[in-house]
Amino acid sequence: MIKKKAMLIDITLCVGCNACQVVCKEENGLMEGEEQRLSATAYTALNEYDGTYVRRMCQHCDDPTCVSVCPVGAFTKTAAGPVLYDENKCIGCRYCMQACPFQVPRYEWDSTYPRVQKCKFCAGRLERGLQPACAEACPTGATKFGDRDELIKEAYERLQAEPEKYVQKIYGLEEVGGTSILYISSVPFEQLGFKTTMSKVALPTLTWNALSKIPSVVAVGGVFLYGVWWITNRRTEVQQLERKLKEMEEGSNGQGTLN
Amino acid sequence: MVVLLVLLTIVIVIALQLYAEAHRHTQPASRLQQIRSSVEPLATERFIHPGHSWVEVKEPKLVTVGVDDFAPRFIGRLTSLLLPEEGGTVRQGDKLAALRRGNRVVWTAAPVSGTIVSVNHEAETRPSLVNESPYNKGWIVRIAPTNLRLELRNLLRGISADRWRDALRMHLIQSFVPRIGTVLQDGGTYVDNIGDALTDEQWQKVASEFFTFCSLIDDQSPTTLHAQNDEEGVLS
Amino acid sequence: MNKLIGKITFWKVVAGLIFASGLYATYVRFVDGLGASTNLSDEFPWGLWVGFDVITGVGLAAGGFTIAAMVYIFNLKRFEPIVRPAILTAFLGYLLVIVGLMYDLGRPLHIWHAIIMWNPRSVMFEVAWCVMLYTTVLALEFSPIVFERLQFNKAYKAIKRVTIPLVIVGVLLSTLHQSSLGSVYLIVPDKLHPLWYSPYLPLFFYISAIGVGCAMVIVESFLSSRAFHRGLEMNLLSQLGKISVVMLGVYLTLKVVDLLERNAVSHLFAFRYETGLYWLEMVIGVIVPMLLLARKKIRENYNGLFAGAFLVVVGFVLNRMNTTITGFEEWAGTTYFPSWMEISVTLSIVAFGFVAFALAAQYLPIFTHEEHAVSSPADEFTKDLKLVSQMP
Repeated sequence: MIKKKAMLIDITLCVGCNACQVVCKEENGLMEGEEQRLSATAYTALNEYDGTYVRRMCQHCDDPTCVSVCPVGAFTKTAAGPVLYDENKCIGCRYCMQACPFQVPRYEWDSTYPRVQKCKFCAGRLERGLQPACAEACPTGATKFGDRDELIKEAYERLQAEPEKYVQKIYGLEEVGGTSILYISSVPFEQLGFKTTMSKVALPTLTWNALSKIPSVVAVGGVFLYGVWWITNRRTEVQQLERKLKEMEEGSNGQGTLN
Repeated sequence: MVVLLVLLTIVIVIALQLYAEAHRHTQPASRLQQIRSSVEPLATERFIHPGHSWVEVKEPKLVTVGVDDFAPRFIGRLTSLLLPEEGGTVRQGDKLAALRRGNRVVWTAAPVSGTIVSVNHEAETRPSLVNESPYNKGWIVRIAPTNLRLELRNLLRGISADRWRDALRMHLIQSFVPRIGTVLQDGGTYVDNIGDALTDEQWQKVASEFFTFCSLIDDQSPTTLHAQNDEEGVLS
Repeated sequence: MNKLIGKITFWKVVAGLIFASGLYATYVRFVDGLGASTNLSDEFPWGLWVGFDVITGVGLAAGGFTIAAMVYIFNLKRFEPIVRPAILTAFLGYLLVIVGLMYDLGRPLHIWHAIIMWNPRSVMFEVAWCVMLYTTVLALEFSPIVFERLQFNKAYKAIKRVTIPLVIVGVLLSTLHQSSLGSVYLIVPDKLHPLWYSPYLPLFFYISAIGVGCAMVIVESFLSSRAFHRGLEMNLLSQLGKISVVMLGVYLTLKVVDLLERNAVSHLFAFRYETGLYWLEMVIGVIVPMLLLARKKIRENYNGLFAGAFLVVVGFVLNRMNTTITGFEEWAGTTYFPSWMEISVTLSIVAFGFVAFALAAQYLPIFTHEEHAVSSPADEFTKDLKLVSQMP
């Protein structure tokens, strides 16, 4: 069985050299040039908060919202971790963008045949047994690639080793049901643009709660509607029959007096 | 912001529509359509009697009866309105109320049979009410009907009633065009006081096409009207 | 045709301008892409086209299934005269929703993918299927009108025979996707403002769709009675108004319960832009029309009923716009305002709906259906009418 892969990003180690973005663009053949924000041509970007650099990228959730919302199944979650996008299936509804809790997917707005763009977790490299380009390029080890379980263990070790330095939290451990990108930091996460109030359950369960009721709605609703129709229709039929009977009776009475 | 945009759009559309409506009469428009636009649409469960009256059935025991918009328009601003006495009875199709302007009188027919329970005294004292609001404030009498269910079948409603109203107007134009064509072209004023453009003789002729009961009277006192009403039905 | 020409000359000019700008916007949209024609962005991927043309549009077309259910399932035959206009409105509504969708989808030519590439976990997938199937059902429900006009008696009888199953399927499909449009937003608990996000969103969407369905039928009857100078079934319409009030009452109660349950009442009194728009939506669209239409005197009054129903429709539109756009602005950190091209495309679609309705009413037996029952002296005069209209 393939072990679930992850990346641990230690924000305290990042020096903001932007090597991750440079190699990412190279690896994915994206337009060169430094970008401060995620875009259709930047799968990863460094945000600076008062000298602290935070890497933004697709979190590769364990139960990804984008995978669940896509009406045509253009997104898939692979066993190893990467969440992948199939542009040939995509119809361009952009529900993935609307739904993603991390606001990651970007769109090629200027194209007439646009694609959704986001980090692919270097899925091709993983298959070849390599680590993602960004992890490989990171000079300080701020981005570290490995098995998720082991990285979590390591993260805890780091938190415990220097409790006064680190905020005692691994971001991504249980956010929206867990993600493949884990962050640890010395600055409170909410000050670094992270949403810390995020739900701990995977978001797809929210819609699934509603969707799973459909069969019963159809069954109960169908029977109910048919039943109502049968009763109301029956009532009219009976009324008509009674009227007819009455008329017949009156008719025969009339004849009776004639005779 | 988008919400406000949507709201604004709706408000603008309504404002434009109101503006357009207010200025419609000054815009060049077809004759047919001028006439149409001057008519308030029929509402509620109202039944129309071809003798220029309507009956509104809110409850089957007491119905409200009035004059259609055609009759008061045809005769013009009423100078007096003669109503039946409370407590009397009428039959469907009978003469019910007299609409009078000067020496000209037309009668509307009772849309249903029954006992007159009350009459609209306000309209009696201010007959122009019938011109202003034939379907509302200008109602005529309230009747306790005797044979409502059956008699309603003789009446028009819904689309048929609308068609009837349209047809009446068209028929009127047809009768008037050769005579007073100019009145029609000068801005759709045909609908009110159209009869004033006619001589008594012409008026009598046209009126008899549209009203079963109509007459010219010499004396202007209401008693004469009563007398004529009592002794003879059809004057034409 | 006389009826239409002239009277709306002014509106024809307006419509012409709208269509011209819409046409240009269409060109830009399909030749230069979404970026060139819209103000959408990565922060705001859904704008006016999704919010209004699709989500609001589907809701406003809810009168079709509501009235069909009332007449055919609950056997309230007295509502029969308004079935056809309601079905027509719904059918046109759904067709226009699909048109709107074609503008909004990034790859409109792939729209058929939903048929063969399934993802049953996606609400959007369910909505797509329901809309697809329900539009088919509406086409079938609408077809007798066309068959009657063309006098295809066999086809007419055949389709009439399956009316009940069709209506049942239609009601089920509508129930599913009207509520699912609310479920679409269940997935964004953190993004959507707490005034609008609720686990009851599907229920809210469903109930308000029924309420607005009734209100739309009223509004549409009034407009067409003015446009075509036909009578109004005031009696029926004020009963519809009553139903609308009941739905609004249920809706309001649930809304309050929901706010209490989520401890979100404080948001009602926060001094914020969202709060203002929330109150606007609730007061204009729910509270005022409820107060108006709950009173018999107003409900049975021509202007009163129209005003009440119109407010319900306006409030519904505001609610959907708030849910789809306003509610996201705080989270996205930017505001979104549609580009003029987005606006002109939307206006074009709405205007097209009006024109299509007018044409259908002109050439198909939409309102004239009940006439067959009553033959009258008016027929004779109708001939005169024709004669006169031919006069110079």
